[in-house]
Amino acid sequence: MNPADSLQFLEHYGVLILPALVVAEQIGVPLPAVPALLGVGALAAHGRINVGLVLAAITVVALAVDLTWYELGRRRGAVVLATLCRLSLEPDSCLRRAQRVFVRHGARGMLVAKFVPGLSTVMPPLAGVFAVGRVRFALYDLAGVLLWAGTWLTLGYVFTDAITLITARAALLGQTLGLVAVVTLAIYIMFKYARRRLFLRRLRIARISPVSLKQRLDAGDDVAIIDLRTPLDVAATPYAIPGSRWLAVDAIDAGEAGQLRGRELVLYCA
Amino acid sequence: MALLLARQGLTRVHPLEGGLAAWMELGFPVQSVQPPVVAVDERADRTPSRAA
Repeated sequence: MNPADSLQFLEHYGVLILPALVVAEQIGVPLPAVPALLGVGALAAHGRINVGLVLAAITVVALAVDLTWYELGRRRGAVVLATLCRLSLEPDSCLRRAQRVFVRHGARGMLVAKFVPGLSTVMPPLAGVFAVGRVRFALYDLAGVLLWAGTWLTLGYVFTDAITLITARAALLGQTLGLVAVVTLAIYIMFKYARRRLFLRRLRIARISPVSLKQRLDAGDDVAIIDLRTPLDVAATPYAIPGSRWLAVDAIDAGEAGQLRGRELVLYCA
Repeated sequence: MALLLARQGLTRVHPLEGGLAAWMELGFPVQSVQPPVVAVDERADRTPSRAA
């Protein structure tokens, strides 16, 4: 489907398409909800779509999905988050990033979470794990959805001429443009996946068993032990290997990294 | 996590097999730590402290 057809398709089915795209994003599937929102905004400027109806549909569906994730987080705890992060493009940092936002801003972080890919999926179950009250969660989630959708719809509305022009130009390139975008995205995902697999393979070779670590510690070897558990993990098991340091990796500054660089590090998680 | 450390130039890294659970299962010594506050209270101190 070329971009001009996409606008026509949005005009007829926007009330169904937009909520579907939002749901897909909320369960971790990266689909282009933002371009669709811009398109709906641009159509609304010419009176070709009922923007209020689209916004209401998005809000109802997004709240329903987020409340489901929230309840799952509240009842099942960190297991839900771990499963969600496995689907993420950045599985190593997805949960830590969300926790950092939550610890720093509390439920208010949900106001901006929808603007950050990956974060919007993890924040609702995280709010459940952190036992944010249901009403408080629903209000912040509602505000976050309205802010996110409203921003892109407004931008589409304001820049309707530019969007129409871009759509017309893109229509000339037709399917070639779509193909280039899809291939580029596929190469990017494959590159990230391959790099991660290679690194994890190297790490598997370098693993140390608990028995070997104990022997080395008893022998007085110079080994720095780093506790990489999340605050939630530490709360669940409030014990640590003697002499270990609890470190948030993203909090290691250049000086600290310099001190650790020459040393052997043993990392442990939960 | 190890990937993030590697980006900081920390490459002599050994992940502990089985993590803390495996260490505790073998009955090796542990120290108790004060759990971080994870409730949503913006004023709370969330830095865990280690007890000897």
